[in-house]
Amino acid sequence: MKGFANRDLLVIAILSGIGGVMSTYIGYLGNLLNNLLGVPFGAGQFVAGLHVFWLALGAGLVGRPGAASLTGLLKGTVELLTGSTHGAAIVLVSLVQGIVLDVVLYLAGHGSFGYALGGGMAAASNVIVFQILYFSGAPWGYLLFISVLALISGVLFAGSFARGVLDLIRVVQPTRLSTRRAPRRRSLVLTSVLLVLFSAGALYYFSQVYQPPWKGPECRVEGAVDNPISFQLSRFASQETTITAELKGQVTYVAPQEYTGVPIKAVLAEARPRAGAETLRVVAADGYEVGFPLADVLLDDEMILIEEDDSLRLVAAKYAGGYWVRQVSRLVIE
Amino acid sequence: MGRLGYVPGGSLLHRLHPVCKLLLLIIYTGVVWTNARLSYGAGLFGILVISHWAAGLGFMGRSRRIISFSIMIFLVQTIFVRQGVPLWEFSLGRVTLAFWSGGLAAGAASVLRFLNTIGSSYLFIATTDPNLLAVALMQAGLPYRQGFMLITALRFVPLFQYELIQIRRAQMAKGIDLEGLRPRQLAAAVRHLLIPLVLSALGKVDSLAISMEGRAFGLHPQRTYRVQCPVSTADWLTLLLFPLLLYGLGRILG
Repeated sequence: MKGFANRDLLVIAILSGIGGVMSTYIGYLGNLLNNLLGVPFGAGQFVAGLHVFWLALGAGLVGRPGAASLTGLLKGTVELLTGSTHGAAIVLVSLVQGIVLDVVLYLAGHGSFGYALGGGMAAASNVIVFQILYFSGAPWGYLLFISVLALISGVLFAGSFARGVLDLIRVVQPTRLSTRRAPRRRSLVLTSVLLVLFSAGALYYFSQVYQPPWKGPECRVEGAVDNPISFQLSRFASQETTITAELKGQVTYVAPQEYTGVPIKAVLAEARPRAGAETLRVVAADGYEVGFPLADVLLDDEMILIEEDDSLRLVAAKYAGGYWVRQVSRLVIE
Repeated sequence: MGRLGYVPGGSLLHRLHPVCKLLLLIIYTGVVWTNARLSYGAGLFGILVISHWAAGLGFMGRSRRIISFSIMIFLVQTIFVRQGVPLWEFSLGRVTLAFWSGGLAAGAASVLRFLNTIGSSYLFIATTDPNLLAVALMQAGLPYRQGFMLITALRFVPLFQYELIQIRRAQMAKGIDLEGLRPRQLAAAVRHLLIPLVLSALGKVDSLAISMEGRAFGLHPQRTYRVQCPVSTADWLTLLLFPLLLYGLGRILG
């Protein structure tokens, strides 16, 4: 902080003030976009980059590491004190945006690439912060979509547009601003580091996490078994069976109909439950789970796993609807 | 939406030291953000409503955006969280929506978390003079050059609001469409609004900087203040008792 001249602090203060004022207008634009597209939320993220625009200007005009974070903190505080509809959360959101932008600009330099990457990532960070605070249950696919919208907005408004305005300011010289630019020697290093990191991330994701849609859903059998397995239904295709079952839930009712799938007992036979095991827990991808007496399951011909909506579903004909677990991901023997 | 601001008054909350209120806000918000229990969230909400009443303030009843954001949070949680027991299911064409008991609880807890966050923030800003807050922060140890940034930013807010309206009217008088929502129109509107605003604002930096440096601003490590914000016994007591209240509430409702 000692490195900031009075003029730098004034630039940051003034940009934070305008940013605080403009946040109302940007929120209004976001709501208009939502209304235009007929969605309750999400489309407004297309103007998220405008919130980061002021931070990018602060970083560019001051040219010192920490300028974007300071602008973010002050802008968030101004928004809080002038009655932002997000309350104290806006300080956190704005500060995180500033830190992200500072880090990227420090590593990537103040070139077009640095502003585009930093602006995009900073704008997208608001989705992550709000997800942590309020939207913990939202699916990652949806959050990714919204983040991409914010990222594009950040690249356009906080990256390209802010860079253009900075160039314009350097030409017009409305004030005797420092025209320092952060050294660019780090750009190549950062690009290489990011390339390696992204490549490693992509490699890990596609090799360990990602399941192509044509591969089909997988399930694991684990716990007290001699042969823990990870399987797809196609592995037990020869043992497929068709049963007729009726779903009687507390609320939902599905009339008797035929279901074709693999008996759970066939899967468990391959996994070989250990002597003394008593319970089968069927666990869904979202954490929902139910338990069955293992001895009953091993004799049950009408408890099968079927493929439904690109995931596995348990059909338990002899049990109530709450036991028909969707998105089955694990069978745990205990 | 009309923005909220400081509402002068003489309640206990108004009279508390601004830094004390800031610390209370940080403690309260920290507790709100780190606890997901519905019952505790409801208890914290109760404290908030009572505090608003004690400060002589209405409880945020004038913002449609708060209501719509709350509904949005609730819907996202109830639709996507599938835990507990299924309560209700219906089909919209090929899409089947199900509401689970766990989803409803998560939705209610998240809405309470949001309302507690903004409610406490509103209570803070409605009972705290921003300029006094900046002075109090500086007297509490914040370097005065940084405190001055906050004062400057807040002082310019009304001016920038005025300039934004002037620039908007001037551009519309020139026939520039500032209300179109197609990407190209949106980009043009942003350009025509922001560039004049930024250039105008930066034009003030020089005169301010010269004025400040002419007065040797920043030369001395300390400065004196015309307004004093002493910390009273009531401030210390509040700071001591509030965390105990939150802890006790957590034990009772936990």
